[in-house]
Amino acid sequence: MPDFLWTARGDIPPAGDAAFEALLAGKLPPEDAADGLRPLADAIAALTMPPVPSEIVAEPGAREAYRANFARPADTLVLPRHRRPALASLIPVRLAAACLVLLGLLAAAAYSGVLPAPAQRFAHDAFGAPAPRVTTHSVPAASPPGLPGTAGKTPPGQVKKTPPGHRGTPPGQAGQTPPGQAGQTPPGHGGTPPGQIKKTPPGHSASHHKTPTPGTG
Amino acid sequence: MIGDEFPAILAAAQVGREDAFAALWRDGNPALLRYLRVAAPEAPEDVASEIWVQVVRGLAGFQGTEPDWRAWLFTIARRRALDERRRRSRHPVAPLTDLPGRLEPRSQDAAGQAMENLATAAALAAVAQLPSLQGEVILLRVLAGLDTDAVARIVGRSPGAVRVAAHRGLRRLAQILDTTGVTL
Repeated sequence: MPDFLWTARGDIPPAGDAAFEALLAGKLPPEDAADGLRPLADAIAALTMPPVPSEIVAEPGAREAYRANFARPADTLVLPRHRRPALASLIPVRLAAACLVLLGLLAAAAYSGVLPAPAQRFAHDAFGAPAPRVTTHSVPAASPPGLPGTAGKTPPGQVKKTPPGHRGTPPGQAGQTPPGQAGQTPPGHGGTPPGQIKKTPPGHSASHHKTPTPGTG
Repeated sequence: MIGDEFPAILAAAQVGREDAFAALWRDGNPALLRYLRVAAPEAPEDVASEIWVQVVRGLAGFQGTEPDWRAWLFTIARRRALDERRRRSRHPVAPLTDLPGRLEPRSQDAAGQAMENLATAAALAAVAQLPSLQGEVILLRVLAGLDTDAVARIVGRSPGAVRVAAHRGLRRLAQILDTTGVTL
């Protein structure tokens, strides 16, 4: 790079770019400067004088800002400051996601009809899932009609049919099937005569409700 | 300048060591204030406080050497000074000389501070008479200890333009000092 000579006035010795660069880099103290550069070197040196009290009087305020915005005990610094809220905010999100997945699985199970009977019934009442499957339990053949606890039970080989879509008779209606007494008929209502099959309206196939009974195939 | 201890001091300040931050502050604030007395002469202390708040916010993510640190510090300072100038131009304020005497702020030891600061204040006053780019380039090179390339990045000019501005500024500064007869 060319070293242009410069003089401001005739009585000031010329100064080159190298001298300016040395001044700017703090490598030309006033005592080493040529006479013509001495005022300039003094000015540059004055710019870099040690701090005066007024320049460091604000240190307590700066420390306070540091404490308020940054400083914590070193042993608590596990994560950078900006990551903590992000992790904390993920916890409820994850919980909500887990709950949604669980509800989805439960709903799928309910509509598949694979839940236990009480849960399936609850699902049926709550959001219209299929009612629990009604199965006819075989009754001991020795139980004669009319005996307490056996009145109205469907004899062996008979199936009480329920129209599709009404797998569980609505509460309060005749023919209600209480839990644990599937296929029972209340006493006094006759039930289905032995050897007969309760008729099912056309289109109300209930073949899937048949439960094979020993001896009847 | 802090020197060889800078990486350790910076690392300590980044993990919450207040004393380490204070060392960074004591090293940087005087130069910052002197720069702001030219770049934002209306409220250099207020602007410096805002700069340090911003520094504290970004301190944990800073990576670099001591020259990088000073370049970052003065980059923030320059932006804040420009903001302050814009704000002042939009909302001009009445000069303190228009206030009644009893309302004028007084330092507890203004005379003592003036004596301590005389040479530096005279030099800053001379630099303030330079065209803005020339004065800014000289201050960034001298006060911040930055090289030409770093200053060029801060002011958004080419290194050649910065070099020319610095040298022209020094020539002009020598003329000002000679004309005004300021003895430092």
